[in-house]
Amino acid sequence: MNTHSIFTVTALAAALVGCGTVPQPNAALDRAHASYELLQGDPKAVEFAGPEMTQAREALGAADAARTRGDTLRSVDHFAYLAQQRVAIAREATSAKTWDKAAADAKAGGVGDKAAREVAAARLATQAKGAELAVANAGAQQDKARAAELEMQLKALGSKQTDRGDVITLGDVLFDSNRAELRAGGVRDMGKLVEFMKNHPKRTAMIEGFTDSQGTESGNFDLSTRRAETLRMALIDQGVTADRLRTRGYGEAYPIASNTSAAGRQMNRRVEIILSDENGVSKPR
Amino acid sequence: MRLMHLTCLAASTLLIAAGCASTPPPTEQVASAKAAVDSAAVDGAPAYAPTETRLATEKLAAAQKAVAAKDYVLAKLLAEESQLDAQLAVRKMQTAKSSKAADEARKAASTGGTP
Repeated sequence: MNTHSIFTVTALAAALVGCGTVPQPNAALDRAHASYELLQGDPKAVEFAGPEMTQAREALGAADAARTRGDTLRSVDHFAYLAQQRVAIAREATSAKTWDKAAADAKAGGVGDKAAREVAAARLATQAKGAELAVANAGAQQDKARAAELEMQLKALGSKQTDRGDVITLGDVLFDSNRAELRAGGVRDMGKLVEFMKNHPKRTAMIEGFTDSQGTESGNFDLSTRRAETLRMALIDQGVTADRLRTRGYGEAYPIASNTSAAGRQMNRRVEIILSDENGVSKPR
Repeated sequence: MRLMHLTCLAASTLLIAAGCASTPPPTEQVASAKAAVDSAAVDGAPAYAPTETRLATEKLAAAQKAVAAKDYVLAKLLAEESQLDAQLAVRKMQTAKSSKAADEARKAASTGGTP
């Protein structure tokens, strides 16, 4: 019986680990909160759109919960989008009722100051709302969400932003000394890169090999070329199309550390993957 | 004891699968989205809120496609978004109509005629 409960706990923990990650900040959700607070500051919204405001608040709560439990970015964005639309609906309800009231006042009291003020206020509310239409923002929001997701993916790959684009440096852990074949664990390490290439089908990659200064210059050039080619073949094996991958060996050129120490030499033995932009354009070295 | 182990293992595998993968077809959500999109079109929302109406229509179509492809997670997301887009389109139309009515009422009042 004891064994039983241990297994259940393990299973639950595994299920949680399987689905969840650490909550990430989410720009779309922050904006939805900001829109809601802006609207809540409008006494007319409270007066005219009580039920809609409640629904917007509940939608925000659901989005917050999605982020807290570590949903995927797509899922949190989705709940944030629903919340944003709920806020927009509440805003429309406020505007419509404000206009209705202005119309009623105009009919009842002629062209009194009050009716004129109501109409002016309603027009202002409609204009202010028009300036930040939720759906007009939705496109920009999705762009931002995509950019944030891309940034996270690149960060996971250990990439650095350079003037040539995003550059991923793979150390010599992928290869044994003076060998061009990938180590057993090397292929697995490339999983994230393969995934990235699949998620961004328009991007191309330039694979550049480098060595330290030990050995002959021509031997190093050859080795660096073969290492870059090995990586290319491994990526192709995992489903990245060949025309998106180019290789080049530089031998011992472009060292990033001193070749006089073992640590420096290790840093120089590397493969750099330069990712193009979304349109497949990359800068030559 | 060994059998119990196996049973527990099977149970935990099921639990994990249930936690992550199995999502039923979002029949209800797609139906609600379709109702919202249809009623927006009938009410004339496309003329007042073309963007929202188009988004709602496109997302509904994408949701139906995702259902056909058995991608129920995506289908549910799209259907839910489509429904709210359609509802927002109708609300925008109501605002536009109320605004027009208010303008006319005020004009009628200022010229002394009846609306």
